[in-house]
Amino acid sequence: MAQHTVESVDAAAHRVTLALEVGLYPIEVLYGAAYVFIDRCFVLLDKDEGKDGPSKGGRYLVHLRGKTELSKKELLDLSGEFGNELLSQALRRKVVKANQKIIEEITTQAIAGAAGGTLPTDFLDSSDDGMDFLDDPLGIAVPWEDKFKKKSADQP
Amino acid sequence: MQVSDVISLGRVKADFALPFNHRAIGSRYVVSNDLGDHLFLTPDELRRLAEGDTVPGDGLYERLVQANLVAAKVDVKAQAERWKRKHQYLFYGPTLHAFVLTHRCNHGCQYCHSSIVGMDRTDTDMSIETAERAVDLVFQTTSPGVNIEFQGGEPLANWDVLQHIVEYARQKNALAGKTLSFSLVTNLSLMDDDKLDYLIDRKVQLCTSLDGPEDLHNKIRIYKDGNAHASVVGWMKKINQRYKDMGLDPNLYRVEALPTVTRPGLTRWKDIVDQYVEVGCKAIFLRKLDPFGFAARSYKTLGYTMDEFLDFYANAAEYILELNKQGVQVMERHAALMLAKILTDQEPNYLDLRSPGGACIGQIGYAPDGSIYSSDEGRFVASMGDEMFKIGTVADTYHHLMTNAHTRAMVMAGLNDTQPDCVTCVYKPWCGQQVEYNYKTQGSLQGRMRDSVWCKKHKRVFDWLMARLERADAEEMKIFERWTSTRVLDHYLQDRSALDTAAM
Amino acid sequence: MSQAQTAVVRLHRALYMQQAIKEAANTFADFASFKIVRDGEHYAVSVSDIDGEVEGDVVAEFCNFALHNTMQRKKKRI
Repeated sequence: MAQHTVESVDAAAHRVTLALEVGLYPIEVLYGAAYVFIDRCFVLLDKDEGKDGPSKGGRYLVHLRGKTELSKKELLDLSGEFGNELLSQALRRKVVKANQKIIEEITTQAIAGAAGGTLPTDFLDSSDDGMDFLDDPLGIAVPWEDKFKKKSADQP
Repeated sequence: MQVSDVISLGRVKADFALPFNHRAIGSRYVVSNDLGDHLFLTPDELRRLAEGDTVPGDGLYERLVQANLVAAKVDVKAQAERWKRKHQYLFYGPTLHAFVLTHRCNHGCQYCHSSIVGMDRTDTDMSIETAERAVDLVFQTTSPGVNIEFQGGEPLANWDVLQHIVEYARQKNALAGKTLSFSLVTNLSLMDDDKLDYLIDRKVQLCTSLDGPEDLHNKIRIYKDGNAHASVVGWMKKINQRYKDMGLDPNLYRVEALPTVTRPGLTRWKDIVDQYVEVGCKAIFLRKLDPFGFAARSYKTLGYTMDEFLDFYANAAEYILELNKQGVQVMERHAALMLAKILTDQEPNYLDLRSPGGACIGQIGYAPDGSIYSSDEGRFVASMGDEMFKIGTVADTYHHLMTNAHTRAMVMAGLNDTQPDCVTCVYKPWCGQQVEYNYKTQGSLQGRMRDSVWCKKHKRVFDWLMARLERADAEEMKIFERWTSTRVLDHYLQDRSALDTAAM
Repeated sequence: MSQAQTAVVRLHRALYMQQAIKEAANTFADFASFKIVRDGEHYAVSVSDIDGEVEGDVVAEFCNFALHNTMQRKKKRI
């Protein structure tokens, strides 16, 4: 399998399931793509073990369910977009690794230039971990309590 | 023409050329390096560059050396200095400080990206205390130049605080000694002679919105208390006349205006340009509808595809060029910024066309409640209920705002060197991204340039410019060079020694 | 939106961290009861007593949070 495949589409449930071979992308890429989608989809990751047991490959399954109603075409578009995101994240990891030195130097200069002082010694540490998709520490999710209010709380 | 027909990988002489990117433009290729040099080459010339098949005296060699494309001939020290000069913005902090004075507004523009409220909601005004704390932060920037931009809602609705900020900032600048300027983004409907006298006396630059002729402007920019178009055009003409009466050069000093292009305007490119020329504007910034705020909600009726916008843009830009040939001095601002970067060593520091982008380290947005955002666009995202781009409040220290993890993440994400498509793009040395746009349209700070409409827009405008440059005659080159000439609007700079206090 | 009072979700142990799941369960404790047990390669999470008055899909949101928490924890661990 050269890329991800659409495993199933359930328009009634607004859900599409993708499958991709374990090993096609690093796990961080799968997480990274999932992260991009969790503000507009319910994302459930699963693993379909290979015939020869857990250590012999297998497939990752990505279940995406729209937070709003989605048609079959929209679900297929969504799965395509997820595939694009996987590829983009994978490529970006390679580019960042290849250009790591210049990226760090420019970023450090830009922040130091703006701050006008010395930077913490661990300033760039968290950018070295390959999990740069998480370099958005504010998080995408709106606090749960804000999003889900008990109907009763709205009553006078 | 496929590049694989031109270049055979097995014959590439890897150490001959400085690393370059290329793109087909017409029958030739444009080639650029990371220093921002460019050259148009025929397919055979591109092959010879890749294979190192050129020698001194054959003409091509000299052109390649001139464009810093022959590695052995690059003066590394001089070019390092040049790179540093062109990236001066890496050495200082935010220059643009956008103050949202209130969320109140008397217009109901269909595409407004701000979270506007009715004129009675004075509770959404910025207070004097918040304003002073924000100005204190402004003066901690390491940037030698500072522009405080008043925005809203309609900022004139919070007039007392606007005046207070001007006076307070001028006082602070007596010690700080920065190059200080003010600008006001207003729909002009609340302007009166007293306010105008004060703004002109305090050298506040005025910017407004003008979407085109009366029918188009009033259809989109709803003003229930009057005729929005008549109001804005009337004030623009009056203010421009005041500048003229003061002896200021009308080519430089006038009310700046921006159109926002909506679906009804797509076929009206000629009318829009003509309207700008008619009110005396020398520049038009053809601005696409944003994916933020009301604009996002009204996208179905006002929106369009990027291809539709780019067709509009090309028509309008060609018409502007034609007007220039007829002696009318008017430019398209976006093209002019790009041309300045391509044709000169200037760095206009336009925040959407630099790497890293301007979020946090180029500009900051201050909300009425004291929240601080990465930019104007960052607070637009917040107005949609998402505080992703809030980097702190006026109670924080400047150092914290500049060094926290959120700021760092935005700087890194906004760097072209981190992007798969950008690193191989011929337009990389002149282009940039906006992390807020990436996030809003594609869900992450980084986005995906391959299917980003931001990237598509920039690429197509660069393509249009490159195609024009590739075949430009002397007359067109003269026009383009005029568009790139920078003249400092020093009248708007505050005099550091003049601290006569205006009546508050 | 009314929703079922009980549900079982299976979260693969190679993809979700137990602490992250527990953290998500704590976040939603006011709106449902959660029981997490190992079941082969999965964690089986039994969700019961789901508050029918809550707007939104508690189980699906819980899964999103479990995933998000896992990503955050994996990042910190590296």
